[in-house]
Amino acid sequence: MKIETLKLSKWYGQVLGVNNLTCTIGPGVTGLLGPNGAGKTTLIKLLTGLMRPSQGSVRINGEEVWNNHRLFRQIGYAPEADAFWKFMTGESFIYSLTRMYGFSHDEAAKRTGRAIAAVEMEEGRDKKIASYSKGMRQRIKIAQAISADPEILILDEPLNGMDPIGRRKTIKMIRDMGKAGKIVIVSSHILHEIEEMTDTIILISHGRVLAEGNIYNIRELIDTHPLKVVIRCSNVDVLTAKLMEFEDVRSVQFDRSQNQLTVETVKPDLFHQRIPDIVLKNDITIYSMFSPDENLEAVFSYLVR
Amino acid sequence: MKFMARLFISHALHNKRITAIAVLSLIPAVFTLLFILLKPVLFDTDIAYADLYPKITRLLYLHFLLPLLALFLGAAIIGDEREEQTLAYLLTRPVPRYQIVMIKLLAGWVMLSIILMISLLMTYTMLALAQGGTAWFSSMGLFIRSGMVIVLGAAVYLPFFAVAGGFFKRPVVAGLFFVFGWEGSVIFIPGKLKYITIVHYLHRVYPSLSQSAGSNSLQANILNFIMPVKNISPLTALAVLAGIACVCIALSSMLLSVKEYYAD
Repeated sequence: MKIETLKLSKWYGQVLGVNNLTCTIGPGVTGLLGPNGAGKTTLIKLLTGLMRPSQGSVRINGEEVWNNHRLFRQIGYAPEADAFWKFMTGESFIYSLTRMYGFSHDEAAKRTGRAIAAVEMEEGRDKKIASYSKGMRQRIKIAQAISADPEILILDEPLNGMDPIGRRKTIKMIRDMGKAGKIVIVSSHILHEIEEMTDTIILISHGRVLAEGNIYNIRELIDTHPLKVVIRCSNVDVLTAKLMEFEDVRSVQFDRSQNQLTVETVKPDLFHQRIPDIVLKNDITIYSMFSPDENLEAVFSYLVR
Repeated sequence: MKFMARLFISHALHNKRITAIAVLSLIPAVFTLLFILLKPVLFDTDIAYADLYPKITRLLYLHFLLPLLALFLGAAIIGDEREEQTLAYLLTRPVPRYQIVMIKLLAGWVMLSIILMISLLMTYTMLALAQGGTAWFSSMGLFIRSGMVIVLGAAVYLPFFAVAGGFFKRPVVAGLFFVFGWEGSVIFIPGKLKYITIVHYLHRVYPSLSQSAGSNSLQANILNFIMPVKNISPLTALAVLAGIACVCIALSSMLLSVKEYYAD
């Protein structure tokens, strides 16, 4: 079983959601990684047949997805939107959606029970969804996606709003499904979340695939990204002079009035190792040190450049 | 399919829209009650309650309540799921999209028919009781016939407005224009323009005005003049209404199959 996109593009009027995207997704967990607005949700909607490609195609085992309801027997989908029939209990919500796969009452009830157990929601199963916490609602969304035991599971930002324990359990569940040979696609804008689930990622920005494949290769790309570090210290002049001696330091900007300097380095790890030695030898006090661009958006904008 | 119909009915029952529709449906009953209570004070001449029922049914139900409630329900057949962002769940199940629309329409029709019939029964009962105890049984045929026309009207208006819901950004505005602008005025214009309304065909299958006791009144004669009752037979009217319903059901089903829902 595989999902293939071929020269897939989707635009809404003048806005380009997905741009000429070609990729193949096979069994196992694949992380769809990108900053907010990168086109992850658009891609997911194309993969789930909620949107029709403007150009190109999305195929599952060679069959077009758009308007092909038979394929949906094999797809479980948890949308990003916090959307439910809120008058229902968690259990009746999952049961109703499971029945729509064509299962009998008994079979759907059995599968609902299993899905609820898998997301550890036994306690809240009889309560109205309206009374659930965000984390519980996320788990119910995942449960409805897995209840029919589909071969393909597509989860859009499934860890949003989950507490650390729920997050850990969900990550484990996703990993287990991948190991069981299912195609699991998980979108997130948080790198370390995806790293915990899989080695295989598709890095997407502005609707284009920036990088695809093993996360370690992409890590290498990310590691060459010049990192900005802002330091507030007792002696800006001396620290600036010392840092300028190193080749990996691309630039240093300083502001004496604020006792602050901004350093750009291409070897962040080495840079951080050197700092203690420099400050001790030169009797400099560091008041604060942080990186303003240690986030995914900065990495993405670097990769785009 | 049965399960989905039950699900959609249960969903609709928990929707505020249905509560509003149920409240609106009480308008004719409230009007009737007020009329009965205030009649001795406001009117010197004797007005037969038996004559009042067809008029109330025609004016308050066929011309006002039926299209209005069908508009509120029909235009939101898919719109509610879009608003609540639950449409994505329905569209990613192994169920043909046309089936989703058809079952939703069926559920909507059942709900609307029940609401309107309860309202109609209340109005009928009040008038019959005011007329005298036995009138409730003796005029039951009239109630059943008018009820059937209203249920038939719901089956036509609902998919008609569901199509409007798929085509227009503001289907309620477009629908209100159709009901009170187009149908409300064209029906009084002599000529064939009234053939492009739904209410005209409903009139043709409705127990005709001439059969009621007040058929010789000036008002009845005027209405008879501007809305001639003999231009098409009830059977032809039924066939036309069935045709409109079928085309609208097919169109609204097709719309969901070809349309994308970006925001869901």
